[in-house]
Amino acid sequence: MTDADLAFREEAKAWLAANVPREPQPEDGVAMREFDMAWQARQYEGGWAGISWPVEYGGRALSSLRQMIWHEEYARAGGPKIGTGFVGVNDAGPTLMLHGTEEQKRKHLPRILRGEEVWAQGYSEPGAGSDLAAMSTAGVVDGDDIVITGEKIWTSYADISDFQELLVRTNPDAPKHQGITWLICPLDPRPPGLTVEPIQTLSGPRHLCRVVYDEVRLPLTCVVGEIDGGWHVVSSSLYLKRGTGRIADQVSLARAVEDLLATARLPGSGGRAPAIEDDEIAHRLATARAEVAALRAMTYAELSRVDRNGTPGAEGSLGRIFHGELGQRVRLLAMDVLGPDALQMVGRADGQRDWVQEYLWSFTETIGGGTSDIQRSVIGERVLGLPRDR
Amino acid sequence: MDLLPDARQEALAARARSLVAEADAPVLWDRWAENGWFDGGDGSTLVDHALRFRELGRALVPGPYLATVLARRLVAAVGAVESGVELEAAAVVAALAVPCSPVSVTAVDGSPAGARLRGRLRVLDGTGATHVLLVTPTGAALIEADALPAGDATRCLDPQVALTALTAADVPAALWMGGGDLFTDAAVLAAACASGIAEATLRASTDFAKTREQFGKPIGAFQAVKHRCADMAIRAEAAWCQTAYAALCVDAERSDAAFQAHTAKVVAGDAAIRNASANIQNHGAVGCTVENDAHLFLKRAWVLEEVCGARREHLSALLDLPAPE
Repeated sequence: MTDADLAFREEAKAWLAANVPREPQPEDGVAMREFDMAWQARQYEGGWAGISWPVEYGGRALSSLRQMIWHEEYARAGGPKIGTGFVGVNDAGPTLMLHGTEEQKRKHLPRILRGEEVWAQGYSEPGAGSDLAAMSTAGVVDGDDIVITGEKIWTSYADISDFQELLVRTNPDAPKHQGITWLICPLDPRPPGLTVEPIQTLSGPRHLCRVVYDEVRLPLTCVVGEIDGGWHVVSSSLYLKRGTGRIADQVSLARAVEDLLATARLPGSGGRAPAIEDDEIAHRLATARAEVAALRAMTYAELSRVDRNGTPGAEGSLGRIFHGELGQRVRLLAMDVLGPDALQMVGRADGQRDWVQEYLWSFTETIGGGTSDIQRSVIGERVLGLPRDR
Repeated sequence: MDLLPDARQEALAARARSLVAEADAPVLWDRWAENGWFDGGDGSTLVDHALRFRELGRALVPGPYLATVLARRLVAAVGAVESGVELEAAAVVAALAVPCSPVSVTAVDGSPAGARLRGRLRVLDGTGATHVLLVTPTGAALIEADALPAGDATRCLDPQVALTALTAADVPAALWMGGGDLFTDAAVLAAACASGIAEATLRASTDFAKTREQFGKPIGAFQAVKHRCADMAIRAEAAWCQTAYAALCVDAERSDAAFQAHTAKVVAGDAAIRNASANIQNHGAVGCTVENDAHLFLKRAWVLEEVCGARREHLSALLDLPAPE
């Protein structure tokens, strides 16, 4: 780390201390969108959005190390979760940079960074979860248009998004990975034939959605990459979602462990003894501290691989599973620390952590973006070279 | 912070690996000494030592390598404070002591010489050692082997380790250094050995799962086995990444070096025991006999778990330290 990097860290720290919003982030709906986009715009104006993005699309073209420093300081300063900005900044943006036309890049990238566009994903279907390539939503080319019919599900924030990264099947006769196309589908205003319906999650908020397409007609200019080349578009940008983007989650998990430790040192409600006086709880808290530290070391190793090879390789799945399961262990431990207090959901209103909501949501950590079961097969086959099971 | 070995470290690890593969135990010890790898006289950092101990762990090399490297670091560290204690580091061959119960060490006026020890110890690989090394969170003591009673030879869980139990009743130490620095080094190097075990058992399991066939296909094609191997890979990765990071922090004299070292010992120790256990399950009945090395990895993993601070000591230290920056 150079002196310039250290200066960058100090600058980031000072800016965050002065600018991180203190009011709680709404947990869904239009209020959440407005909060997230106002904060994104503020980061952009301060020069902190798109740190490693090219200058011509609104970024600063700095190293991935600077991006990582920013994520670390962001999480330490208690910056809000990226929320509705996630797909645009971490997935659609990088995907367009790799595969979009110049027109698509100029139209969307600066707006994503400025907090003017919210994106949703449109990958999973009722019949295609872990086996994503089995998806069947149809895209039929008709002159200069493509006509879409089918259903997507578990799409975060589709109800309040402007655009969707949409996978459709354009060639039902080709092998399943070869007939898929990646599209930019507008969600606001809704094209005729498109409906969005929020689904309540197990932890309360309503941000997962079902999106139904009934002969939705879009111009072919919305295709990203080649027709039938969508699987390549998806898989070549997958690694971008890991790496530096995970740093923020990891630092915030470290924060969760420290917050939990502080909670465990206080007396419980009704004058119960501090939870940490129980040897088993103390042992698990110390183990959580150790495992969060090990996760950080694994992420550094992953970033080192990215710097050397341009990709974390299939080894990226190792840290991903470790991270997801550790997140679950920490939240399970929180339930045991709370004891009878876990029965009462406190909400996030007064800046407290709602451990119960975090615990419930932690079940998604080994499901979203590919279940840990599938990830284990990926490790077995692509990292360890074991024979395929499918 | 680059956690992958650079070209020099790659070469260093490869050299240690080929030496370990070629040489039998007594020859290997001599070659280690000729290369100066016990002393760090070639400018070895703790990362360099860790890379070599990872190879020793992987290959289940027997002998008092760990205690000897640590003892010579102790002599060098005390020498650096100009104690007036004369001890030739290169002549020290040390055996590791594990306290059976709290051992009391009374330092005399904070001096590096003249501390006195009382308590019951188990000594590992004491045959031929000039000294016995006791490393604790509050200090490290080097005791002349001749100053201790012979003790009772007992059978060690690990058949490749010689074990003696003895009672030190007011024995003078040749050297004493207060503080936890050597305990930190010891935790990192034991973690490096444990990482080697976690990696070697992963390798043994995947090799076996690719060739052993049941129901007409390699057992590695079954998800139950494949996913167990994936879990082994995750634990091995966590173990080595954390160990390398802790060693880097020690070399850089970072304020969180002790925290990272405690973490390395906990995470790598756990990885070694759990991977060695999974390796036995993956080998089925083959793993339950001594015709396969699976049992030796498990037994060595338990030895490493109990030396250089057991898990409970490192965990309680972790709760007492501030979180790293």
